[in-house]
Amino acid sequence: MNLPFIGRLPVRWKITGAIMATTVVVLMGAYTGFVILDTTTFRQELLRDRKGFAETTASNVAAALSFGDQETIDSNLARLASVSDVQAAYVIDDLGSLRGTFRSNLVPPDEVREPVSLPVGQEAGAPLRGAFAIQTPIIVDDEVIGALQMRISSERLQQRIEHYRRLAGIVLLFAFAVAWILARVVASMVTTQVARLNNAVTHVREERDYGLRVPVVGRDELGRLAENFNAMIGEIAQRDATLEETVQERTEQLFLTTEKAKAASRAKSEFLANMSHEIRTPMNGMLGMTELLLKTEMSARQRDLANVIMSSGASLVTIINDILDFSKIEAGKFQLIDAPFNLREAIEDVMCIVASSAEEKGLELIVRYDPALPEGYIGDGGRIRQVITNLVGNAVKFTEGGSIRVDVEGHAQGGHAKLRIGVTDTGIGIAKDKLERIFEKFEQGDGSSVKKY
Amino acid sequence: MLVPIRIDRGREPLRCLLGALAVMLGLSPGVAAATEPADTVIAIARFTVWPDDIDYGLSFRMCLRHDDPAIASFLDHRGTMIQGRPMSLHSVKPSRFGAEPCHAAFFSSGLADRAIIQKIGRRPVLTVSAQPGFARAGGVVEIADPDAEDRLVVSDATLGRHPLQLRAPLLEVAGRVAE
Repeated sequence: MNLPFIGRLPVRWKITGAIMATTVVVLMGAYTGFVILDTTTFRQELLRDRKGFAETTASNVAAALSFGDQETIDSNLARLASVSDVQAAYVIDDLGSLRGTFRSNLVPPDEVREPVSLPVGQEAGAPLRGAFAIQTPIIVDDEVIGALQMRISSERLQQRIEHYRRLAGIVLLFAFAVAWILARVVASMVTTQVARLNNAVTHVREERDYGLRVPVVGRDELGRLAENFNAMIGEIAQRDATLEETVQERTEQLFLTTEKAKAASRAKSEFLANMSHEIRTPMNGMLGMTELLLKTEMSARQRDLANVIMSSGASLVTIINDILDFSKIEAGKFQLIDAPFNLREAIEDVMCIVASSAEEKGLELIVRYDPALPEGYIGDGGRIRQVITNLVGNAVKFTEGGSIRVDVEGHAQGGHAKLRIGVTDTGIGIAKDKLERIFEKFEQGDGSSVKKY
Repeated sequence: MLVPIRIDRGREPLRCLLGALAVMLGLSPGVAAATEPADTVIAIARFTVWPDDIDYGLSFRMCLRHDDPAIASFLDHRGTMIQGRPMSLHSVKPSRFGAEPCHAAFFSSGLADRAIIQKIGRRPVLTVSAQPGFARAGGVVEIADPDAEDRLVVSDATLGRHPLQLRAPLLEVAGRVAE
């Protein structure tokens, strides 16, 4: 049953309503039961008592009825005038003929003044308007010779019922009063503590005041609820205090660790930068001397050896430059330069660098440069060449057959250009789940492929 | 249930004649307003209490003089239950009254002579008669004239020393006479 109106009522009103309804229903039910029982008992006793008079009278008129003594019949019936509630009495013979009549002035004039039809041979009764009809047989020597019928007024019963009906209003008011007082007391016993808890919860939620405690009243469920609330708030406060200390401690630890790591990284970068710089200087000297040596007269064997020194040194310088760039990046000192460069030539240079390796593997190198795009730009052409070189170099490295294609697309407008340079190969490719990791430091697509290639 | 009846054979034609006369007059048995002698006696018997120690067998013994013409009105009532026993009709010679066991004895007017009443004496026999002065002579119940104020007449003196008891409702409808 969905009663939203009741659902919105405060608990105090719900308890009050429930107790009042229960009390009033029970009290009125008990009152109704009492009234029914009392009136039924009164009616039964009234009829039983008057039936005794009827039986006595029936016995007394038996001989008179047998011998047709009308005077005795009438005198016996007339004695019933002194019996309260008896409005009329009739003597009926075994053939149903009326043999004697008594009527008091209590019989209303508009009521039936004749006996009602009831079986003569047995005790019977019938309800009348404002009265009851009871009949008892007149028996002589086990033989039914007639019946005596009495009309018993139900006025006293009606008065009694009317009295109870009037009293019902008073009882109802009394029930309401008692139920109201009872309900208010019980409701306040429950709702006061609940309201106190509710206010405390609201206060704690809004003010974050975990030091608040509610008074514990009684040892019932509400008392235990208050105790548990206080205990819970205490535990939360203690947990918060511990958590705050832990967070502060961990934050300090993290800060120290981070600072140490940063210091170590800076030291490493500085070390690498210094070392690279220190190494590059003698290497340049060595390369310069080797270049001068190659300009002198040497045997073929000596020239080959000098060329090896030259190429190895150049490679070493390239590695050192890369390390130096990495150190600059980590140290935040890496800077791109703005200088004119020819993008098309830079790409062709890269293709020339990898041409020999591609030729060895039978790979076709393709460059598709959008003719609508200009060739000259201002930017860090060296870094662009370096990126393309790395991508194309990797493509050659991980492609066993087919082709490697470099696409240059985009648009230039108003002195600015937005380019897209794509390197596509027909190699092993990169798994989808590895795509996000390939731009991480020291990450490669597949460890097994790295070993293979 | 058939009940034996002893009838004086010499009086049988008269009995039949009286019975036929009763039927012709339309006198039928009935509880209400008993007018026939038999009805009246039976009604009186039903308001009478006999001593517990008498034992006349299983039937209610109704006795009449063998020469009583009212015997015809009793014939149709044979077997009628009185005091829980079926009525049996007995014709008794006047000399045998007091010796024959009877619960009740009826005498038509003129047949209840003082000698018979004396013979019955204080035996527990309900004596009933329509003979004027019967109660005064020691009879238990005298049936008065239908036009009289009281239909029945009893003598308190007789009842006071008689072993039978009449119930109060009966006494209420009965007139009193001095012995």
